[in-house]
Amino acid sequence: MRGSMSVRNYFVAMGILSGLHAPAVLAAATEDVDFFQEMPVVLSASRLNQPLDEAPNAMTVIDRKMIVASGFRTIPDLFKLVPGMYVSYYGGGKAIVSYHGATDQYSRRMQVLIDGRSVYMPPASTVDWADLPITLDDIERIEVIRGPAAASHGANSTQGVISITTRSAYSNGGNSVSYTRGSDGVNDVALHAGQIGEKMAYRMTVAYNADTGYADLLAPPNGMPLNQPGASALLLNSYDNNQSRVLNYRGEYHPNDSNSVEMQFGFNHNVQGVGFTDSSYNQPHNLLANASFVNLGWLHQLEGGSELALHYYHSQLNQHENSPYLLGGLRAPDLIAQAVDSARDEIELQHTLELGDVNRLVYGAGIQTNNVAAKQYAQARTLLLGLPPTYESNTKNEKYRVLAHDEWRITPVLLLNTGGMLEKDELGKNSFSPRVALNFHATQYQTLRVGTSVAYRTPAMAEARFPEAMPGVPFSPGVLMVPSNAINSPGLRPEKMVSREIGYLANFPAYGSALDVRLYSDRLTDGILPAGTQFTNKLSADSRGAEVTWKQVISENSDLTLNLAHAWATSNAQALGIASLTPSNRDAYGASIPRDSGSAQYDSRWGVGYAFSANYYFQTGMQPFDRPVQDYQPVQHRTDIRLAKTITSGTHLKGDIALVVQNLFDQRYTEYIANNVHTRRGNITLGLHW
Amino acid sequence: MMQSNINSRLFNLRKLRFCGLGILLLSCISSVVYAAPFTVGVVLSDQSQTYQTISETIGKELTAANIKLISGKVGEEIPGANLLLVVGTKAADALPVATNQPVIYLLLQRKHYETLLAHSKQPKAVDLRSAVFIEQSPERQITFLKLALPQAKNIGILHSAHTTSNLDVLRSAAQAHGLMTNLVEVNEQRTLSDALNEVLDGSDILFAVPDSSIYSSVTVRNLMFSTYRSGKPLIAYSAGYVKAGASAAVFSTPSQFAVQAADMVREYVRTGNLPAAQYPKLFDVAVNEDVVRSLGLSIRSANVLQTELERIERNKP
Repeated sequence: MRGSMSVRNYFVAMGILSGLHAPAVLAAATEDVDFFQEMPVVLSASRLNQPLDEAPNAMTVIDRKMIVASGFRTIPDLFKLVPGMYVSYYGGGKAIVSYHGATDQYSRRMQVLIDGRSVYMPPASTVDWADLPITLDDIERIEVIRGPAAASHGANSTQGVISITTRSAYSNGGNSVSYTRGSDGVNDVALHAGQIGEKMAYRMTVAYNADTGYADLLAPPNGMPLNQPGASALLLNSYDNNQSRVLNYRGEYHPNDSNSVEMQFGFNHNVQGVGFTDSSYNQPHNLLANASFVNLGWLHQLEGGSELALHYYHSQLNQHENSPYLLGGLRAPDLIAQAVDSARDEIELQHTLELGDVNRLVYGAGIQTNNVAAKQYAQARTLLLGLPPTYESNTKNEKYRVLAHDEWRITPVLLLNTGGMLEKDELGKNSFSPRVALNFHATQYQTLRVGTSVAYRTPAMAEARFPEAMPGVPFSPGVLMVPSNAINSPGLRPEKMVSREIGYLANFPAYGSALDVRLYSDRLTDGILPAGTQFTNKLSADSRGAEVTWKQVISENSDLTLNLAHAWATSNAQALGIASLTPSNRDAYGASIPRDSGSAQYDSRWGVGYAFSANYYFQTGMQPFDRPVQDYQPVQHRTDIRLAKTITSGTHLKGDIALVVQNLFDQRYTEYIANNVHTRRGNITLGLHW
Repeated sequence: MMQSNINSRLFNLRKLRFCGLGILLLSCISSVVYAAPFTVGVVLSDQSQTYQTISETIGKELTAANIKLISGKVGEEIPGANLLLVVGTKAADALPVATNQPVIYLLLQRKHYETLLAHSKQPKAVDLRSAVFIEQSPERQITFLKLALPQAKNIGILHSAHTTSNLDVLRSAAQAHGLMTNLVEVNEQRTLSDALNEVLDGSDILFAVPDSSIYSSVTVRNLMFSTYRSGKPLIAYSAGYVKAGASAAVFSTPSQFAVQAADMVREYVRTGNLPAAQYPKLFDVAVNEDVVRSLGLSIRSANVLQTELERIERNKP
């Protein structure tokens, strides 16, 4: 009662005052102080993307528009849009992403970051893409740096860097729900919720994704005769269902103009079908994973555009499997049980310093700790080797690094990027990875880049500590790796990559065209290879190639992106006695790099809420590095299309429906393992946004 | 006094006594009228830095011209002042509408000023009121936009019921320069996020017009992130937004407003007529080179843009 009286009095007072003073209607108007108001630096240096023509490396950007137009539903497929990137599958849920191919199933020569958190995990230093606690819809943008970039992106970036940025909590408030149903058991549901306040904002995702992977083969692929050695093993051999339950949260808090705090956490419970019917020690079974992370960041703005960033994260990947064993032709259940719990903690401090108008310096230091607690129970150890059935290992390594990167605008047309990273690994080796690149803006629309960089990849935990749970046997049962307690490859050195490149970027605004060309020459030395039950530094290889990206705006509502890559590589693999099983190329390393590959994306939007996109991918024949001849991947062609319609109602509710057909012409091609044959697939997505 | 002494020789003593007294009184009165400096009453909305700067600059400008400044309180007239300088919306809204003192308003938006005039109880308001608007003229805004981003063809404008700019005038100015405008309204059916996505989808740039429900410290992060993510530049109306992440802005500083106001006061003293309400004459340009570069745009430096804009305006008939 008292409250209502005071409200009424207020209006009475306003009424009286409005007769004498200015009308109350103006109260909501923009205040004059708004014109002079100090604002926080929202787009600070560390939040700004480096433009392609100023970057020290060749870079491909995959933005939301491209992600949507691709029609893909998993993250690794997106890298098919990057020139020179090899994307293939060991199983339906087990993707292999490697720049220029030349990899085994544990692709481990790239730094992969999600919001600055490195996600390649010990013991193999590889990324298990199905375990990432984010969905495709959480991604704002992906930058793929083609070439070594340790100076700016830290360790493990010998081939390049994949840097994924998720959507800011401030980028889009509101909620959405979507459901996707498709062939091959595709069954996805996702809920995204978010809210934006003055000082706080959050965004969260709850999702379930499922598919049944590749279909079982009833006849050998690639026209292979059934009596070809290994061909029959490809039949009925795809146990690769995949299910993920994902939760993630991103909160941002800005207590004042000079400080911002970011907190993220996420979880993915993944069940992945693994194993092969013809394998005695890796029979079809489920690999269970619980992946989680906490990512904390504090950004402090200093005077003059400088900033201080403190970043800490913890990543945890707990995997376990109970695998049957084929004993005397009979499938004995659960004779193998393995659990590998991997944890990474990293803390990093970076200072971005504006040195006048023409120079920006970023320097920082970080400590990374990796812990792997692994346990194996295998009756085969007793049956075959007379050893105790249980083996446990606890391994830990620490890596220290300091890095600095300087961007000096010598003249308005000349930009010099210099930098380096000094890293100390668990084997006590210090490696220094420098980089220098000069960008010359020949005209307003043309840039020439010349750069050279060195990057080291410190040995993976499983390389320094060969999994010797079954001593003398060069394999592990199941799919998990239980690292040895002892460092059994003590002399192992970091791999070294020296890369030289020339880049040319041009814009033709009158024609709506943009061109990006990269010529490179890379030399890998001290390449790490398995040799018996150890790893050695014997591999050396030279790669050269050219990559081209052409973007063309066709009309106001349609555009086209073309990517082409051409690569040559030679190595000492043949001299090392590593047999290439491809008659046309006896160099196993060289044969594992597709000579030509490319993609084309056509994206168009029509006025009444319709969108259509078509994507085409091709790759010439190649022999996966460590696979037998029946896994040879012949030339691939694939065309995907997406048709979508957005329906906006008069209220806040918006709906959309999208139909995706992958491999429209059913041009069946084989993946890294030839029993994975990509056939025509389709799915339909319904979404609601409010 | 000298004059009365001379007169005393021409008239008899008696007359002289009367006359002398009369002239003495007259000369005393006239010396009060003509020797007292012109007095300007300054009313600031509050004591914040912006208003203080304006007050100090006006003080320096007018004291040199032998014009006296006295300060007043918000909501009150200043007896004895020949002219009132009312700085800011708060002071403007609080000023008694019927005051018969001449008033120059500073830092009011044009729409606000026109509403004040329309609601004025002063019958001679048109003659007794003037202003320096806080926003730049539509012509200057559009010319600046064309200079900064000549490739832009379709300019996106977010507006709402609280928008305080005359969008028709702005649209006409844009059309005169061959630019299309894409106006998207934020309302009950369309949230700011939806409207922002819509306007960015259909425009080459986002052009900010003052609206506290759209552009404020509450919304600035969403606006900056979303606009930046779309790869399109934001042209703002204040230096604060350029610092936050807008690509460029044309605006006037408190000192520039003060100098213009002082000029108007001097003109009034000289002519006895208030100059007409006007847009800012002096201006600054700000460019966020980091953001512009990151967006892959080429834009001339703030100095070059300012010089060029000044040149164009000078050469206008």
